[in-house]
Amino acid sequence: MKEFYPYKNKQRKNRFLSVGTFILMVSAFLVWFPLLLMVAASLMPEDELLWRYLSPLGIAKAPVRISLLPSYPSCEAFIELLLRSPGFFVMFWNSCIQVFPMLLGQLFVGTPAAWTFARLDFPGRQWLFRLYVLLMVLPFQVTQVSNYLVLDQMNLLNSHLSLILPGIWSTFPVFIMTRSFEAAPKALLEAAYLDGAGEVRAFFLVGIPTGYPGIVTALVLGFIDAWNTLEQPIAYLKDMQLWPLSLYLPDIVQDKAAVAFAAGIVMMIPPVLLYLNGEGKLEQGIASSGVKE
Amino acid sequence: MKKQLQKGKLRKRLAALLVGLSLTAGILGGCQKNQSNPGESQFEQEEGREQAESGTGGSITERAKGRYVEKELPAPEEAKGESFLSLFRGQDGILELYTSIRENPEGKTGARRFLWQGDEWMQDEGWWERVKPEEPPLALRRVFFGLDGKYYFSGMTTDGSYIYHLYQIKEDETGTAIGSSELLGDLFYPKQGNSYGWIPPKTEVGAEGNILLYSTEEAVYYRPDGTKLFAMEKAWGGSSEDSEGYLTDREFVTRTDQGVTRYSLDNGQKIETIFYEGLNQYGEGLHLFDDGTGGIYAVNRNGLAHVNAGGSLWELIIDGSMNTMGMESCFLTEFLAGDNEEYYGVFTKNTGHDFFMVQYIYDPDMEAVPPTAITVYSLKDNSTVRQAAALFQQAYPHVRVEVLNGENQNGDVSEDTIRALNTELLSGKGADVLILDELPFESYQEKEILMDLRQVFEKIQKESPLMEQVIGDFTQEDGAIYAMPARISLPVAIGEHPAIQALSGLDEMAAYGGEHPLFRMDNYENFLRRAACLQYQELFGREEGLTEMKLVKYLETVKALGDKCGAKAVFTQEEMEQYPGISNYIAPFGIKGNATNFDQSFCDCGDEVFDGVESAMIPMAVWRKHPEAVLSTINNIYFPSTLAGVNQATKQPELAQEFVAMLFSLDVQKEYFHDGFPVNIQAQQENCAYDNGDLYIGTGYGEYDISAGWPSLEERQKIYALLKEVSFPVMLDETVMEMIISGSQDYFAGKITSAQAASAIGRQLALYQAEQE
Amino acid sequence: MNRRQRRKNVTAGLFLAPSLCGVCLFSVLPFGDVVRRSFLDARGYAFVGMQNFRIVWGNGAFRLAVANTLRFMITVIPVLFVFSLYLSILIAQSKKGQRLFRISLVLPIVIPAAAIILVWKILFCTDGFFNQVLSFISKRKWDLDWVNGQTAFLVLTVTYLWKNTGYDLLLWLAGLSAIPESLYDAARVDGAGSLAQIRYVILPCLRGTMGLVMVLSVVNSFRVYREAYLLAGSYPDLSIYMLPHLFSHWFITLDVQKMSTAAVMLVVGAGIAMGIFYAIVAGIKHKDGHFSAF
Repeated sequence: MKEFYPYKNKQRKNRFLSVGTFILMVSAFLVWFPLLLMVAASLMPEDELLWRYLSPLGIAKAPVRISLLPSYPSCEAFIELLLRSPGFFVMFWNSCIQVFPMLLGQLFVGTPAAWTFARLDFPGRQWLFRLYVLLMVLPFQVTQVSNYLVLDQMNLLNSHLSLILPGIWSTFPVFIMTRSFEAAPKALLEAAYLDGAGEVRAFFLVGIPTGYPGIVTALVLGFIDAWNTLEQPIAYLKDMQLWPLSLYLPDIVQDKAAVAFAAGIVMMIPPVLLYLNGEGKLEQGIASSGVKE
Repeated sequence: MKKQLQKGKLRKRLAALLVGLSLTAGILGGCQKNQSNPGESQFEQEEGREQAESGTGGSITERAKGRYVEKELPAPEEAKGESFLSLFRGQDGILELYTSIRENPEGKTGARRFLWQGDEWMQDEGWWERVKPEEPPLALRRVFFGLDGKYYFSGMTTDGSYIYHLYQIKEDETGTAIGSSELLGDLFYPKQGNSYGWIPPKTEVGAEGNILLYSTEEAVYYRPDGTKLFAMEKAWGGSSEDSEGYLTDREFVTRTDQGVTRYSLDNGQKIETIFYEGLNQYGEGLHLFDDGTGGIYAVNRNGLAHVNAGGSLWELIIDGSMNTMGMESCFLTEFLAGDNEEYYGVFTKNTGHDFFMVQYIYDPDMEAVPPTAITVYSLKDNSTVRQAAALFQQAYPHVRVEVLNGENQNGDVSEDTIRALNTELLSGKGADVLILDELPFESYQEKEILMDLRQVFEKIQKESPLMEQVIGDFTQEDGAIYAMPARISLPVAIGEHPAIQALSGLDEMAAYGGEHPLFRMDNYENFLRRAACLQYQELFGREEGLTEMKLVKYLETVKALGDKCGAKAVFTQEEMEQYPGISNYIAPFGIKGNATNFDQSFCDCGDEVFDGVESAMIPMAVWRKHPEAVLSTINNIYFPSTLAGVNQATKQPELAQEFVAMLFSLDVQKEYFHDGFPVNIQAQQENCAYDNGDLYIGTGYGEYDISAGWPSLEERQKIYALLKEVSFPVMLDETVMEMIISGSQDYFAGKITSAQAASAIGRQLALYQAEQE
Repeated sequence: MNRRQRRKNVTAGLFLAPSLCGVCLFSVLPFGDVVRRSFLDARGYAFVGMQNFRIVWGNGAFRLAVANTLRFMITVIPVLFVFSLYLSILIAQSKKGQRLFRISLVLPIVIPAAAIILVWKILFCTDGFFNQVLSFISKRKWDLDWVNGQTAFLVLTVTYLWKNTGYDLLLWLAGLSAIPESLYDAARVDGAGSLAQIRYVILPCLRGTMGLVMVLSVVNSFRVYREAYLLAGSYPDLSIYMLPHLFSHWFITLDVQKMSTAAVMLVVGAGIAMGIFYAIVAGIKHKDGHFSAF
């Protein structure tokens, strides 16, 4: 991350930004508080969980006894989830099958398209791009039936492809990547042309390296969206064996609350890991942008 | 800077490693546990296509051609009316049947032994007289053939001590049974301070004469002299005779929480556990038996599955959904293999008495999977529908019925599920038969999703008529019938005259001033639901629907009722302990079983929902205790359920209509699944006449208890007479109820007035209505 | 058209083709079907012209939903915009713990809604944590039902902000990372303090990202339906009854034609809003030589 360090030689700290650290910490705290509650709840044995949270679970009226640490830590929930629920692994695998090919596809299909929108002027570019953007606005429910009909015609229903294919052509990643490609410095591009590079080579030599942050962001956000998607699988996958992990999470029910929390936490791990990985690439991308002033 | 980069790299590597690990774990886990539930696997409709699932472990394959067909195996004449004891292959592999005389007032006991001669049964006369011990007086419980080639039996003493005894049968040179000798006697006697001794649900004898005794959570292996060898853990089993395990020469195979487990009889240690996805989630029994070559057979409602020795791939040999195995009205009591690819099964009806036997014979020419299929969809699992599916498939062997429901793992239904269903319906697809409970079937009617079934019901009315009242209530003005309930239940009240009178309207309910409150304390939500149901006509039934004024009256009535008996929004744990029988459970119509509350004088009106004679047992017992009380319907209301309709877009209209007809046929209607009375008149008559004299149920908490037997003929007639009084179907709109319940919370807590609450609710209702315009 | 331009066009076509085909098939085609349905009756057979538009436009539920949705967006999006931008600048300039802060703020996006809802209930129910804290502080019993009542809007806003700050943060950070160091150096040389640097270096460079964030915030504001549904049910307090609720209900009663009509109106409205927004922004652009598709 480029260090934007305004007060290099001055001791005077800007008030605007010193309050900043405090605010950051408060924000971080606000984020971690519910999360830690969740983690604590997943490490509690069922009876402790019930005792603490009778009211939200709808069992009886009792003040909530909140706690960031379980009184009797126990891994029952995780054991039950990982070792005794074979359905969980199948769904995990399904999620992987549905998400990773989609991301790859988005990369191959969307990146050139984004580059085109960003750098290559052609007639009707603006209008086409605006169309792409407008298509993102609609909530899924509206196009659900129409999508269903299209997928049905193509005989894709009730298979992994019914989620993968529409996902590959989602306009969302194109949108993000376009922005990032636009930010590429013109000078570099001109230099490449002068060196005799054609459009395709320019794309690979200049576009992709400078558009790295955008590509990674698009992939990370795309992954997160796809990993947690709920509506498409229920609509298109009748066969429960094809269901992805996002559908595993049951509505929190009295006798399975701890397992539900544990499932939530386990579900979170792949996106977080991916993000951590992606972060690194973000930094790398900048370092290799090659602009020399 | 360099250090930071290195740190970053390290972390990146770690992260990548974790991702890789979790993916691998996922893959491995996925491969191992990749399974398909045989009951839910999708069957292709193309004929003769091999259905093989990829992956190992737990998955099911199906043969392409050939199917097992069920045939009745007639029981011997003398065994009619007797109780089933055992069926097994004894000496020389001959099939043997044992029955016993049902308990009778004279206390007579007796048992019979029959041997199958290939086409008929032959009784071994006087067998019981020969083998039964002199004393103590014994009722035969079970007979079995040990792996050591000897016969054994177990019995319970009938002199009131109720102790288990185990005997080995002594034979003479000709192989005729002549007597018995007891084994392991003391083991079964009650220990110090216990009133009952050990009653093993099942006993087996191994190849060396060692004895395996089953208990609820383990099976214990003994030597004949009484030394205990070791105990082997198994899944929790009830006290029924259903065997969840069996013995072979070297192994004990049983069901455990993780699947089917083999134990070694040398040392009692686990050898392996084979996961079986076909295990029903609700702990339903699994019947296991040996295939003679080290493989395992497992039978339950899903059907008969088999796994080879050393394998982990289960093969579904007989699909339970196509025959009696899948029927909800029967229990599987015994199952075994014969020679030549045949199987024998014994089923007991739900009533617990009548048993019947079937044989499964392989027909190589029949298609493994029927070429035609119809789907039946209901939001929640429905036993009546499953029964109809099983019987339908028997009647039409070339058709497969797939019963689908919209429940997720927890039995909940979400908006997403209904949307998915609607997507299918709008696309001209979806199930052939729809069970419309809790679905927006008025919208379906309006949008012409449902087929007009008037001709189907005309035919039914001619052949096996349904209640006229119900038919009339669900016929449209133009004579069309789009949906018809296959079950009805009704609210019934027990109380003295003034209390019953008070139920006639909202004002009357609020004004009731008897000695005790009209209703027992409960949470407000139940009160709201109950009032909405019982006063449905007054509240919703008139032209103007639910006006704000009516809302105010409604809320105030509920408040008045609640105040008199201490109603709360939610009960705390302490309150639930303090007041016996109180819980936060929300009953669908707000009516829990209040007859016992009336009996204990907690309230003056014991209202109940009747859905069958069995559900009326306790209320009838209460009524008997209070001859001055009245038993009556409430405002002629009934609750229809299992509303059946046919999808207009079905590709099999005739079959779908036949299925609907099956739902209303005598054979399906007369079975009791706790989901309502039959609407078929003949079924009602048969049920009324049926006497299940042996059934007793009791209930109680704290110091109160009450027990009830099967109602007398007169009482049963009274119950069915109540059915004739009903004339007003009530189906609560859950959306409206939700609005009322959440909008009234603050009013009951005293924070706002009834007028304010009513107007807030009114706005929400207006919104709901506005959406429809 | 010179050779360069022609080559560009050909390349554009080649690069764009794969994406276009799929998008037409999976997005444009279904949307076309939606537009078609808005002119048909419920069953999808009879042509009814503009009747659906008239019905939906005059529908009270629709008006309420639109009003609430707009109110939500107008309240939430600016706050989110400024707050996440502020946080991203803070993170960019803080030396230690940068990564930790980044990861922390991004975590909420990743938590599945169903899992966090119970925690929300624990905090907001009548016996929940906030009521307990308030009771403790004010020495008076508080048992407000935060989710159903006048505070419903507030709870939904907080939920949305909690969840989506990280989302916009990621986008801002990606944008920030593209600002060349040279610009900062140049500004410092000119004597600019931190505030000035923000005003003259960061904000201009982030203009493109602003458009991105704006659009995505609008899209995401519809996604809040999932949390709203889990917390407050199908028919929540009237203040948080929004378009997705209405769409869902119309779907359940099979009123697809109304849903389609409303969707068309939504898209048209969004298109107009977008047009206005970019018209304003475009006036300030093009000074720095960046050319953009916006």
